[in-house]
Amino acid sequence: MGLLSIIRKIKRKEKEMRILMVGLDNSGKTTIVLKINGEDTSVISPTLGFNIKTITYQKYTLNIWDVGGQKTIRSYWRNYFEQTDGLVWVVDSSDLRRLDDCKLELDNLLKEERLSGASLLILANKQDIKGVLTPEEIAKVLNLEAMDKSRHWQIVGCSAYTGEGLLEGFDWLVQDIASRIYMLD
Amino acid sequence: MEAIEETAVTMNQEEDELESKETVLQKYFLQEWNTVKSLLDDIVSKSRVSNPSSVHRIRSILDKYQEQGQLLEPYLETIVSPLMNIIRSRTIELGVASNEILEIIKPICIIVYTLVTVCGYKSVIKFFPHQVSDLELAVSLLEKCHHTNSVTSLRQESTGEMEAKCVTLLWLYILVLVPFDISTVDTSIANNDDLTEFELSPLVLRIIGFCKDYLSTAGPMRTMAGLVLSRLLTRPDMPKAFTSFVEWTHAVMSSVTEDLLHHLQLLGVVEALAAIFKAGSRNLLLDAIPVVWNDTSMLYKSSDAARSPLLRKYLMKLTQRIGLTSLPHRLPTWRYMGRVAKLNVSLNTSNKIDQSNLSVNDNNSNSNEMLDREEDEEMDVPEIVEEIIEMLLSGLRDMDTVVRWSAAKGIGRISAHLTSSLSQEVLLSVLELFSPGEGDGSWHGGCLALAELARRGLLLPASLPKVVPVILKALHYDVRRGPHSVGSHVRDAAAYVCWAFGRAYYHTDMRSILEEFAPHLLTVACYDREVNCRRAAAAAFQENVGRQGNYPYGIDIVNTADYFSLSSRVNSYLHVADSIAQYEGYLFPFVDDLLDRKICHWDKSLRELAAKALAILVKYDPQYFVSTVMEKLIPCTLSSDLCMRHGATLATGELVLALHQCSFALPSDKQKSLAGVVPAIEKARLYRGKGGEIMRAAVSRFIECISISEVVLSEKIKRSLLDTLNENLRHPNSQIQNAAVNGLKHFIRAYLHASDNKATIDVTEKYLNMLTDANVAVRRGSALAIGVLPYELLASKWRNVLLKLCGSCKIEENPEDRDAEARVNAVKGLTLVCETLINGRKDTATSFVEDDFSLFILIKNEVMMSLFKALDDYSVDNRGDVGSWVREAALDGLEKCTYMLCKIDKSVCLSGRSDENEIEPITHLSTDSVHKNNQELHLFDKNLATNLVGGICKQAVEKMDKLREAAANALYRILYNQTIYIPYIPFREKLEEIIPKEADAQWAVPSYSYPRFIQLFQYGCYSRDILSGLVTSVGGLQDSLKRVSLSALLDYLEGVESEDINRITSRINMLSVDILWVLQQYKKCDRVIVPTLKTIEILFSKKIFFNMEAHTPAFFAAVLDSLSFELKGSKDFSKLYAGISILGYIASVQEPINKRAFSQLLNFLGHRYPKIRKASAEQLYLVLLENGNLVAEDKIDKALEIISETCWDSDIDLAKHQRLNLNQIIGVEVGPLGNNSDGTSRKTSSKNSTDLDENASYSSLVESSGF
Ligand SMILES: Nc1nc2c(ncn2[C@@H]2O[C@H](COP(=O)(O)OP(=O)(O)OP(=O)(O)O)[C@@H](O)[C@H]2O)c(=O)[nH]1
Ligand SMILES: [Mg+2]
Repeated sequence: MGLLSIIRKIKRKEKEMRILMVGLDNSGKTTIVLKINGEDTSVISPTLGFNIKTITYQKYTLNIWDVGGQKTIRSYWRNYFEQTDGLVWVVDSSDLRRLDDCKLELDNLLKEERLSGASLLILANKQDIKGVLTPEEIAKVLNLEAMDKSRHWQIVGCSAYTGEGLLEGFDWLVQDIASRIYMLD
Repeated sequence: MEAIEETAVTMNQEEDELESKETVLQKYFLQEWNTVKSLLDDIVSKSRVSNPSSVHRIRSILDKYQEQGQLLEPYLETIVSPLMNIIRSRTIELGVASNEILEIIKPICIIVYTLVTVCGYKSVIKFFPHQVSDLELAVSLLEKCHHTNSVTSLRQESTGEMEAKCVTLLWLYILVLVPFDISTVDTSIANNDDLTEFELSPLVLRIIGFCKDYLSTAGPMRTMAGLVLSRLLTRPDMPKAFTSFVEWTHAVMSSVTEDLLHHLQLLGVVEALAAIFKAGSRNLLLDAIPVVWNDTSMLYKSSDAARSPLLRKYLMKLTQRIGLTSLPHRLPTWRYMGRVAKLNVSLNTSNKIDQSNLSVNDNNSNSNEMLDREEDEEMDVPEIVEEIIEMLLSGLRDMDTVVRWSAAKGIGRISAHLTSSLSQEVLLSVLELFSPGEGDGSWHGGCLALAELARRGLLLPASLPKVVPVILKALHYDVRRGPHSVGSHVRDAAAYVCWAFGRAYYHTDMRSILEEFAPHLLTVACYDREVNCRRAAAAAFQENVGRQGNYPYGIDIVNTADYFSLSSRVNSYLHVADSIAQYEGYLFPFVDDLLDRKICHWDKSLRELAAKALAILVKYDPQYFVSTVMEKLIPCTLSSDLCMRHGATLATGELVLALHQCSFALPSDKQKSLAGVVPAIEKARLYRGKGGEIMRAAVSRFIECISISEVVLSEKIKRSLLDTLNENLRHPNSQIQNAAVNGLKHFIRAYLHASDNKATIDVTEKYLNMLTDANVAVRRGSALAIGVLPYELLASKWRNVLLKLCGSCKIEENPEDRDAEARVNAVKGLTLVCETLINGRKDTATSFVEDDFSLFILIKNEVMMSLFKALDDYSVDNRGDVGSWVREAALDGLEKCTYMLCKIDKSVCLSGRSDENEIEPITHLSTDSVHKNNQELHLFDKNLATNLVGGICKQAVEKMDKLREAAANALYRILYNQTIYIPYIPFREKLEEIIPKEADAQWAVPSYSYPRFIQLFQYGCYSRDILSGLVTSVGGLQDSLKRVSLSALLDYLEGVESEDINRITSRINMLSVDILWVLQQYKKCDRVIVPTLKTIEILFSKKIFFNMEAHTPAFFAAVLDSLSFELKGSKDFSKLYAGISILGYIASVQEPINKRAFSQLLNFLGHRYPKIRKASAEQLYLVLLENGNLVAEDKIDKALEIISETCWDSDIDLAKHQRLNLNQIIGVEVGPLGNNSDGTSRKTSSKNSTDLDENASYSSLVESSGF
């Protein structure tokens, strides 16, 4: 038995998950992570590179990788010890100008074979701002319905400021990953 | 560089394959699920498996998910519940007395058991039925299975017997949990009062009975029986059964029998006890501990345990369970708590968040305090625990990973229940595993234990200063063992510890430790030999950086050294390490690692790579490398360790070169010691004997490096180095030769150039003489050496040099002397010399002189001729087509010489134009003949162009994959050369169509290349070359190539792209003419003739050539002529078979020519090879069936009879006799027709006439076809 299979066993036993937060810069990834981690969200600067936070939810341990939107993220897709179980794609619902960019980047990301087993949560962030696109509208623009049938995905509107929608989103993600990776017990 | 990227790419592709496996499986499962579901539905609707193949189908689908059981888990209920219900209801319905029940449940159990192996028993049994009444049912069922135990125990799997037992045992595992007193369920007891208190009910006795039996089996039932027992015996109503079972285990464990059965029983008993100790309550188990522990520790020391890793693993499990039972249950307050927040459940109300989080933090900080330390210390620790810990520690040293891992978990679990000072002692003992005296197993086990302790918060930050140095050592653990070394598993595990630390400790606690780890982790990430270690170290670094927030250059490094970029060793050494070294703090550790561990590595290629990697770092601190690194390296070139002196020699050379490249001037004392390196090695006689070969190549490279860097050498040393190179040049090992040639090239330019003329002339003369040496190695080496001589050494005697090299390109006359490598080198040398001569003269003058023209003409004629001949080198030896090496070199030479000639033409043309303007043309200096031709002189003319392209195209359709690709690429470059346009290429436009400029060409793929090149058949100037190459593919031995090339040929002949009948006929006509040309051109050259005959045979079978009107008989006649010549005296069976088959085809046609073929065939009935006689008889039979005209109608039956009844492959005299009979019946006189082809008679007179015939029919055909 090699070390890797041992580690995989532990991971399963300890119910750990690796979640990658991705999306264009300024979409609110870091704010969301701080918010669910119960940290102060008032002073935030753009992420250069990435940040890992461990947060527990129910009986699961989430290792959340908050990846700066300005950098190429290939390096974070996987490492030797673990693969990516969940992807959170954060969209700035108020940034209509860059929605095309957003679609392009998401499509590119999803083409990546190595990430194709991961569950995908799309967070339509900044819903607290008036007049922003609704999750349904964003789903349409991103053409989510056309996604590969084997992909598990969900879109949820949220606000990192008020916290609205975050619980719902992460709950879906965690349950979905759990149902794939762990027993449904 | 290209090679580097290539390796990186292929490695990544391999990775991709591995990784996408899961993804692919996931995609397919959706599809396969439908299959599984419909098969299941069928089974369920019939309440039995009606078709056994459906079980195998389901099993083979499910088996694929062995590593990905989670994919199946959502479907488990749908599969398991109905199947188990069938088992249950059918058992009730039929009763266990019937034998049918087994036949019904076995196949079903195969499916259920497959799921157990794929998803694990825990997830499967959740869907088993569990009514109280099922208990008795399951017990009876199991008994039934148990007693019908067939003798064929080895192949139980396929029948489903083993599966039925396992599934029933697992069912019992659930059922024994019935919340009632089991005796109330037992219907065999009419009256409950019959039993005294705690007396065992018959049902329980039955269960225990067969479980004990299963404990001593080899199959998976053993584990499952242990599980059943662990649940049954730990029930509150079973103390008696428990006690008696423990007594029984004592008897088993203390018995000293040494046979297989006993060994199996030991495994079963220990595994069962471990399960029982895991499941049972402390009160129940405590009393049993003394006996069980005593047995356990004795057994661990026994020879049984020493032999069986599995037994030791179970013993480790049992031991730690005993330990945990002995210790009071409590989580230690001293434990380290990382600060992990909870995902806040009350997110939507922003006010509450801060409060709840505050309280979380409060809790954490509290638990970090050690308030109740003192209370802790008072805990009573039973004596036995110390022994248990001892045993677990020794388990960490085990030679087997599974045992070490189990022991590491045990150490972690037990420490969690100890006081902080005791756990501190355990830690110290673990650290002792990392001592030089311990083996790699101990180091590995130690790492696992440390990671385990850290994960559980049992390794307090205060202990880290003691732990960190140990882990750093483990990160570099590598112990030489024989020709290799061990330790990659230790390094891998050490990286895992670093990774686990990153997760376990709060980032501020980890910061300073990371600073210590980082240089070591990155050293491993860049320079470890094994990809898993490189990746593990990088992952550990990444994990830590990600949690630090702002580690210096952390993000940049993570982006450089990621999972993907580290997949290739070369990329890691030369690129990743290079870019990390620019950040502060990494250069020196990198250099040290290379110097201390990699330069002297046992893997030669790693040493070579390390030398390059070291040189790459020079630019960051040249002074350091000169003063410190070189100082260290130079003495090592004389080390008594071969690896060390080899690596050091290489590294020193590369260092010098790198310093030169960054324009660092070496101080003279350094130059002096560098100059002395090789003489010292030589003096120490270090390239003699073992390892000498390795040193020779290294020394040559060293000389190359110091030559390029122009290190100052004394005359004496120069002479000695030249001798060294010359000696290596004549070494039979081609790698050593090549290294010597590379060294020589630079050495001569740096050191001989300036010296007196005499010496230089001597050098050239010397190598020229060596070209004809009796020793092949000398010939090989000298040809290469001449190739790298500079212009000055060649200029005065160019004619002699070129002519001698041309001579060496030829296949040696004496077969003993033949050597393909020598010829390859001669071709390469010739090409290089031409280049040097042409380029060299350009440097010295702007216009051509007479001597130049003679040179050009010599290249145009002799050199090109030699290269064309080399392109026709088809020598074979026991290694196969060694001539292909020569041809490949010739392709390259022809291409390069073509460019040279065209360039000269162009400049002559330019200067010619200026001639008209100038009063005195420079060309007046030339001789008359050259002068006369000057205006028209074209070195590269139409003739050359045609031969060149034809020759290349021929290679492009032959059977060697590598050459086809090389040829197509050469043609591409010739057509689209950027610097010079190659003129006179016939049908250039068509060629450009076939080889388009922008295409993403796949010339290595036959189905891509053949259809394209075959188009050239349309052009007479190429068609013969193409055909003589193509036959080797179509008529060759390689099936796939045969298929592809043939279908390309047929497509072409059948004119798939146009339906113009005329065109099709003309294509076939042309092909027939070309085939005759090939037969004529390659007479008795079996390499070409055999596949050509096979090609004809195949084309005949496709009915090609049968509709050429007047040409057909002429073609047949010519083929027959050729056959009678070729088959005469041939011993080549494939040739004879193909010939006979062709004769058969021709004999079957309705033209008069058939008679000739027929009579030739008849003659083969008397051939000296029995198989050939038989083959021709078979052909004749077919011919007669097909063609009634050959024999008079009334005689045909008789003829057929003789042909089919005679045993042609037995006695030759009999065969000859029967042939005579046949001839008489048929009425063929033994006349002129027969004599042509009879291999045994009238040799003298027939030969000339045959040749005449052939020529006559060939030329008449050519005429009539209009070519
Ligand atoms: N109104 C509003 N603003 C938000 C919300 N979430 C984030 N923002 C703001 O959006 C800006 C960007 O947020 P970040 O969290 O830094 O975005 P990011 O996706 O991490 O960006 P990068 O790290 O550069 O990839 C910040 O000014 C946030 O205050 C939200 O839900 N509503
Ligand atoms: Mg950010």
